[in-house]
Amino acid sequence: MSSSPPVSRRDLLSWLGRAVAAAGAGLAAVLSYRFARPAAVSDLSRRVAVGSFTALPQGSQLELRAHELLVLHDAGGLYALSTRCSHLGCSLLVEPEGFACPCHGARFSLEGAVRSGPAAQPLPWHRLSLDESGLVHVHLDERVPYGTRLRP
Amino acid sequence: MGKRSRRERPRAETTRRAPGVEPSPPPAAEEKPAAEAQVAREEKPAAEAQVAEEKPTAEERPRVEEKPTAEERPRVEEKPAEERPRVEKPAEERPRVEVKPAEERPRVEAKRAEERPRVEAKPAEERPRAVASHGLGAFLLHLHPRLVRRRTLTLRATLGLGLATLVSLGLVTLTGLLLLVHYVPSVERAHASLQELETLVPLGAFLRRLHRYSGHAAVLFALLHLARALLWGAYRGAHRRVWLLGALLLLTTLATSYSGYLLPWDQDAYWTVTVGSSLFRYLPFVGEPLRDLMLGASEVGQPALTRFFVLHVVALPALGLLLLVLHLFRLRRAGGLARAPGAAGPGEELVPAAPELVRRELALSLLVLLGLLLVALPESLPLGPAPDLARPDNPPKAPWFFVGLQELVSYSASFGGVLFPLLLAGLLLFLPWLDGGERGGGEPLAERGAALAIPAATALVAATAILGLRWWGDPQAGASSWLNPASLAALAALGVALLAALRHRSRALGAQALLAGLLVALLVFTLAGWFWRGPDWALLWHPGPGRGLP
Ligand code: HEM
Ligand code: FES
Repeated sequence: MSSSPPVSRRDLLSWLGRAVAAAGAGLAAVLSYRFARPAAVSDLSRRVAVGSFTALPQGSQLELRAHELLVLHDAGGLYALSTRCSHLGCSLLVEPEGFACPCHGARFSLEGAVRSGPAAQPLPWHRLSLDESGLVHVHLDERVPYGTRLRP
Repeated sequence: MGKRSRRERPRAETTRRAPGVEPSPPPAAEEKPAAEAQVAREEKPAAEAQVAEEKPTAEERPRVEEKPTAEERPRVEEKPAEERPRVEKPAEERPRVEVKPAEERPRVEAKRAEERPRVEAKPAEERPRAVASHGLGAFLLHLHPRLVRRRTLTLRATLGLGLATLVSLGLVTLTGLLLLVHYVPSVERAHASLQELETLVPLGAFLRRLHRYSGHAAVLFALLHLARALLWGAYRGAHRRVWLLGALLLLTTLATSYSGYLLPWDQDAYWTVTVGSSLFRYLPFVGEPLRDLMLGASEVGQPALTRFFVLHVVALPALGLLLLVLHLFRLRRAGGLARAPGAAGPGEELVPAAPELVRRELALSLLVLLGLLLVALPESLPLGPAPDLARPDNPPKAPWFFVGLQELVSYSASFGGVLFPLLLAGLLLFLPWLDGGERGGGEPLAERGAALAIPAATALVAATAILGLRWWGDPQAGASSWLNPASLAALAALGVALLAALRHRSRALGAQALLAGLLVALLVFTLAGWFWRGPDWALLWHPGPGRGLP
């Protein structure tokens, strides 16, 4: 108490202490994040064969539940869209006129356009390809613009 | 210790006098060890004595009282225990204490000068000594100050809700430890291990129910406890941090409960977490990294189960325990339950915490415990089917405390799932600072105008939300993701709050009404989601065909 300098030195030390503590905590947070972040995911191209083109006549539809995928053949050709709701990821129920989401009630047309409900994005379309033997493949990790159909 | 208080003293001298913060409520201060009291006595600087001689006259006092500036106040709250004003000294030191206050007491507590003598004059033999030196009594004695206000003993003061939360949390911890013996946190084994627990392990099903129900009870009691503290206005001044820690505790409790939801790895578990984690994608900037951290992969799978297991079993409970200790510590440091400035009367006198308060708390704890055991006794809560990873139930319902959020999200993910919850959480955490008040509270709806404004806000917001739901359910209504039942209800809450604040010129009232209104809105949406939503999340009671397929 005899003089004032000790007080300010103490203040300085405590300020420094806090700064060091904050920096340490920040560093620890960054390192923990880097530690806990998922390791790199495999980038193997993912595609599934859904059968030969001729086995999918116009008007048919094929649901691949495990891949949350629906392949349809309409007047314009063959297309595949995701049946995972674009809102928050529930699996959609396939109904004659379109898709219904049980989780928060979004509705989509058979082409994946939002009809009503909270979803803001249409359902993504996946790229289709035909190999030499006439098998149709869906490329799960490749999207195509809305309306891109596969024709024989 | 002696050294430390010597160094800190000057600061303490200035801050101690800050009025308005109630730095020295006797109940919290009286436990000071004798050793410290002694140091403090020796240390009494001459300067102070001098001040005492120039004792301000009665007319001067009010002016002195205004002296401390706002910046000094927060420091008062941080004041370590050993610097607390020496109010309750061992009996033989009494006279000194009585003399010293001449210069500081009136300044600190000028408003309550009348009640002081009563407190101080309490005869020594009335104070409990050596109430309990071992066992549970001694433990509870350390949770409480030795003396509490008589009002604290009444049910009306707290409705016993904090304690009920505490008991539920205790039970959920114990039963959780037991469940750990059998549960296996693996995607392949989790569901089966719980099936074995239910069918093969003696008391297994009962313990599982007890764990679930006491977890639900903890959340429920915490919410009610929050509502109680809100309506009683118990979050001002020194109680600000009690509230803040309480709110953090609630969020931690919710997160703990939610993370536990994935562990059975059944149908509900999988879909609740799939949807919940997708919400993060709507949170700008931090959302995706947070989701990655949570799931450990791009989908809900084994990494997510492992992470949720760690969160549920270790990380969140540890955080909760820390917050709980701080919550209770801050409450004690704030001098016990919130009370109105200058409150006087039969409820305000000091009585021993043991045995009166301790006995009541034990009784209430047993009651809560018994209730939970009774609820868990009959068979219920069958384990859901193993998850169908391709198809949720229709409709899948979130755990009850998130059904309100599910309903909100069904209006719009970014408004209902992100903005509204963030606003609510922000208001919840910082209510005491929005309020801006320094003191008071402790009685239900005691603010001027609250007895009208709060019920009005409740009724208006509830009505708006319900009408909004009807209107929103009509496909022709032209609702959008920004114009929906939730935004309408929020507007109504804001409107009533502003009106109340302006009419009574009271920011405090406005803040209270706003949070009350938003909580009521959340309640209505919870009820709506729980009772009024059927398959495909269609409103069951909507007059028209609902939002059927186009
Ligand atoms: C989640 C677990 C929680 C536990 C175990 C808990 C425990 C307690 C206990 C035992 C008390 C003593 C008085 C009483 O029994 O009511 C208390 C007081 C208090 N709690 Fe909590 N609490 C929790 C959450 C909350 C929440 C969510 C809030 C509000 C955001 C909150 C705000 C308060 C306030 C303001 C007081 C002081 C009451 C007064 O002065 O009248 N607490 N808490
Ligand atoms: S997840 Fe489909 S509407 Fe929300």
